[in-house]
Amino acid sequence: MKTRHILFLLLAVLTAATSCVYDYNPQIEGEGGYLIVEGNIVIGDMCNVRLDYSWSLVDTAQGDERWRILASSKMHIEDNQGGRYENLFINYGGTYIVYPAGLFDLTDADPSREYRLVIENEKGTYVSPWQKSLDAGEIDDLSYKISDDGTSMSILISAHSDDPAGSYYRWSVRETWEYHADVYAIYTFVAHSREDGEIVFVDEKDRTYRCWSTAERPEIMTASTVELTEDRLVDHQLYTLGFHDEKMSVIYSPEVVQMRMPKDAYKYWEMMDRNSRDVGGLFSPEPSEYRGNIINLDNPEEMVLGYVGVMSVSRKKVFLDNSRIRFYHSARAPLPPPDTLNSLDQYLPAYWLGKLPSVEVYDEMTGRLLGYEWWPANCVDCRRRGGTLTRPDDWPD
Amino acid sequence: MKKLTLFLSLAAAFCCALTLKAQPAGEAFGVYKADVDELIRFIRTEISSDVYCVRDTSDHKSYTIRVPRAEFLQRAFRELRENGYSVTEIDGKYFILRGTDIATKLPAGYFDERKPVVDTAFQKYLADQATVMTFQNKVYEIGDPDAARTGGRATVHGYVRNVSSGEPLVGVSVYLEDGKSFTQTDAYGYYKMTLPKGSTKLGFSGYSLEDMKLDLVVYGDGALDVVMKEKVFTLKGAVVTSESMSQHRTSHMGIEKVRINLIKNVPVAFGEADALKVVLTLPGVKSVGEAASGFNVRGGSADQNLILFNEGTIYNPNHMFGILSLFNPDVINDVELYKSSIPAQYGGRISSVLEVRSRDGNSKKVQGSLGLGLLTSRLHLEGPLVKDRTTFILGGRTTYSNWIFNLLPANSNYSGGRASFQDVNLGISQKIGNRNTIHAYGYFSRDKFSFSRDTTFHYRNINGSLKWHSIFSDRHSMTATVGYDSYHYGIRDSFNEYEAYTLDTSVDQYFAKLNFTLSLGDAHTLGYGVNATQYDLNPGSYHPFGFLSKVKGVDMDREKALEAALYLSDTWVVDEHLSFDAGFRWSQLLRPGDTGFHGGPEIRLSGKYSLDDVTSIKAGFNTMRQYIHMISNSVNVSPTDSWRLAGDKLPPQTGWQAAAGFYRTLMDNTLDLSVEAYYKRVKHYIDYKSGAVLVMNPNLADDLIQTENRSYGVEFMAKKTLGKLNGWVSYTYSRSRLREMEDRGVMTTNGGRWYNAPYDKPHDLKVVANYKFTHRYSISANFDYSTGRPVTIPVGRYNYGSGMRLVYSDRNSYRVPDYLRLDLALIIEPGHYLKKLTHMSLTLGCYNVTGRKNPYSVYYTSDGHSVKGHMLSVFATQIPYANINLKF
Repeated sequence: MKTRHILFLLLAVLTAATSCVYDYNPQIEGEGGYLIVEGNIVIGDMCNVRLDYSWSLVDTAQGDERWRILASSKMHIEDNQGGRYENLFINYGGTYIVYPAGLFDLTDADPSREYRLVIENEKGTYVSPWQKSLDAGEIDDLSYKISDDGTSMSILISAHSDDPAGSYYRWSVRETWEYHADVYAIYTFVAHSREDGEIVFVDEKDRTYRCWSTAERPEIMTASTVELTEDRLVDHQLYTLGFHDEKMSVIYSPEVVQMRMPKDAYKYWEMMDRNSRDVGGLFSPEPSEYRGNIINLDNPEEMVLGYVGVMSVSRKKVFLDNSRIRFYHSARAPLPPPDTLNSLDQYLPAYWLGKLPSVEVYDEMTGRLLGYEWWPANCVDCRRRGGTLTRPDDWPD
Repeated sequence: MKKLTLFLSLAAAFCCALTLKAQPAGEAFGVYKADVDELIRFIRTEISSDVYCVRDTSDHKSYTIRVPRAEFLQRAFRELRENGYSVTEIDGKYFILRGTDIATKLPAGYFDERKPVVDTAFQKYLADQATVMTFQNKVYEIGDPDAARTGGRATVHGYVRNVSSGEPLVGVSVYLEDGKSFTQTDAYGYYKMTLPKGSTKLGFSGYSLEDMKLDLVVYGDGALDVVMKEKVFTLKGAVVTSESMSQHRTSHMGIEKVRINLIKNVPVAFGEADALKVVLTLPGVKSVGEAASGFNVRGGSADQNLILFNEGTIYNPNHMFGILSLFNPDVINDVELYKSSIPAQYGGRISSVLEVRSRDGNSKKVQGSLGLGLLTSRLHLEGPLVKDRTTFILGGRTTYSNWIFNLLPANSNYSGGRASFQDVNLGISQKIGNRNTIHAYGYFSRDKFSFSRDTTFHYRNINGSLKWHSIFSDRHSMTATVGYDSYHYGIRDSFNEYEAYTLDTSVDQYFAKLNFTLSLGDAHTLGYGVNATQYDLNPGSYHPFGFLSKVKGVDMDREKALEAALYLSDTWVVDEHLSFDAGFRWSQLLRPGDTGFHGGPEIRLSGKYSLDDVTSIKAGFNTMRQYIHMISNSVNVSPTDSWRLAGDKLPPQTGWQAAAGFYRTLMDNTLDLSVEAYYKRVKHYIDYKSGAVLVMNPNLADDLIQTENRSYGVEFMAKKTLGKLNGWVSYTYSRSRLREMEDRGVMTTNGGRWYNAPYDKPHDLKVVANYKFTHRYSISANFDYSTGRPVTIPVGRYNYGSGMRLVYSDRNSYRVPDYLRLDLALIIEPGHYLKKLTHMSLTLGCYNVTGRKNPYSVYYTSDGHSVKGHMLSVFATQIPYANINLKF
């Protein structure tokens, strides 16, 4: 009899849920003001360098003073044999009108020389160390692998170089994807004024059904072959996409830029990755600040963030077609039923409420035109979801 | 009652008449040709009124004694003994019998109804002992009664055992009535004490044991074994005073002892009784958070604690990431934490020594228990192998609890993971004669867990030791231990089959310890001995896993060294008020290939002055050295931590602690109040450079920084050891800060300023309480409040590499919110039905009753566009539990 009681009790107790992660945003303003230098000296290519100051946690815009310093900063790249590469951004009256950035043409630079970046402003002269270019190695293959449960897809890279000591790799990925509006529209509404407008037929090339979007992957992707017997990576995972990710809805195209870097650069990127992602778990390492390789010659104690390397890059791009892969599962909300409208009196309020027409509606029995289907604009016009109608030149049909 | 009549009839067989012949004053004092009756009458009137005699009517001998008055009694008794009488002194009264002693002791086995007087082997064993003290109100003679009473002192030693199981009783207080002498039984239940010769009263008291007072007549050195009964809780008025008394008797300070009875009462997460979790409730002990079995003692780091389990060193005391400790509650007897005065026989760690001892098996009968908890099921068996000579205890635990990991937070690194463990304890004790005991201990534990299908972690502990405890003489004893400890840890990662690898690290050590205790007179007790530990560390083996793997196999050089130490200590009892402990230890690391010298002296000093019986003050000073470092940069003790030996590149840690305390016992010795304050410095504690690579790094020392640690604090504690309500309240204010020792310019951690250690939690209030309604029903409560632990948090952000990145504050310059938790448990003990085959006890409890979402960590993530703050709470809600134990 006692045993039965015990079993009952155990069952009752085994239902506890224990732990959780909560949002937590204490009122810490923090501080901004560290100079950020982002970019690489890419031999044999055009390259960008961007300057910024770090923001406090509550800043929403860069302060005027810092902006002034950034905007008045001058930069150039020099080599160890007196060569000098000027910033190509045009200078109007001493102020760069573009974002404080540098654009350098190193297409003809000699890979056997050492290079460095020099930034000059009222806070001092900042330099990166002299470095020789490191070639990027080869990208052998870009592929993908879908997890067993079908919910995620890994983008994999195979690459090699021929350094007997092994290499430290980093990749950046620019992804482009095609996606479609929910509703194929062959008509649209053009408003001539607040009280007037008309439904017009749209030529096939102008229709707002197919869109393309582009973004940079925010992940920090690095790998090392120092521990391997060969300077070669096979199917190394770069990042993953979830099966609800619209990027995979039609055609997805990652373009991978590969770089190799010295060990301290690798450590810098690893640390940055760890600090932005891998903290707060039970056994996570404690975050800590890590300096890059930029030094203010006039104030060596100044903390500058960023690592400027000298390198060449290699690129590779693939197109992943969901109609063949069959990975994507839409998680978009079901469409609301369309309104069928048939007069300007009805069109105008709908239009000003953010709706657009798609197709004509006919009476199935009589074949009489009843009006037009009207949908919320973001179901009809794919641009409302961030993309453009401009098809990339290399995009497959 | 029929037995009692038998006893009385023994005495009634004899009778004697008394005559007296008083001598005129001035003449030699004595009697002339007096018969027994006269002699006794003379003694009564002239010397002592309390002489009783049962006369043997057949005795017609006459006595003539002429000696100085002072010697008369002694001489008379000798004469009587020579004529076949026995003389027994009880409380200054003399009983003279013909031919036999007064049986102040009931025959052995008297209380066992319907059984012959000597029935079991155990009773026989008791009966065979030279002097086994079972019952009070009997006078026991120690030493040779016929030896002349020369005055001075004698040494008495023996074992204290449990009357029903024969297990040695550890930590029983042994003291003279007048408070002039005090000692405690050691881990073998052995005690040794110097007493004044003559009639005296010796008290024995221990936790949950009935107090015992024995009347002794000490003639010389001798043995006295004692058996004690467990206290029946319904008896009222029994006062156990040992824990309180010890506070005022020894000069050691900062020693906390927790017995398994208490450990089982303290409510913990999932209801698994856990020795380490109870250690965390003691003042001066902190942890970085829940599910952290690593603990921090007085501002020290987790690797600065020496954890000894039956003499073997435990390198990772955790099961399941710290949800449980690896000490099986069914097998262990008690835990003892030395946080301030560390006896000279221990060394090798800076902060503390935690001694965990397992029980000896029951020497009388085979018994066991079966436990069911939320996480584990346990089985233990114990009993005699050879009755009363050889006992064993065997315990094992296993998990069936992967379900729990589905409840853990997504960011905790192990949601969706799997974890399991097994552990086995074995202890065997063998008595060889009265003076030798041999113990063999074995321990094995294995943990396996995975965060995902492709990555598994596993670690195991193996400990084996053989201990020989020998009593050379009444004043000299020895404990010799040899053993082997092993901790292996491995990872297997097969996420990408071309990069699949295994990584293994290990610590193996062989050790030998030879400890002696020697009493020199009644004021000094010397301890001396040598310890040696041979280390063999594997800092990392990195190997390919699977056919396709292209991983280069790399084995780092093994680190081997011998840590040797010798020590000498003296406990000097100046008088009943003042006593000192002084210890000197020389330790040294002999590492082949090292050019530097790593070794030095360690000093352990403490002193006590008792203002009165219940008030004392103490002060102490210690220096310590540590030759092994734990390499870890997560705040928790993680299974991935590896150990490295000190050497040329990594200097040993050294430290000292000064402490002082005030102790007072109130309310009939049931309430102890204490205040202890300490100040502590440690050098060469390691912290990490930003971006340090800790795994498979041959130049590890370059990624580490040497820091000094400064800690101080004051601990207040009120502890009620007895009564229906017992437990303690403690409050600690303490700080622990670190500073990089080397100036590396701008790279210096926090600019070379003092920064908070990760476990610096200044305010700390703890309450552990147990209330017994009856001897079967009790409730326990556990309350814990502390300042949040320091963390490094983001103070800025910037865009880099197409994502939002974070700028971090100086190391540990912010804190997580404060910690507060209340746990409750209801404990139902088994009914005391002797005839029932099994006894069931049941614990029902709730962890974190208020459901407060206590933060373990706060952290920030950037999804590439914005920064979000998160708080990880390990046990964020009430966790009810039930735990069932069956004893058989």
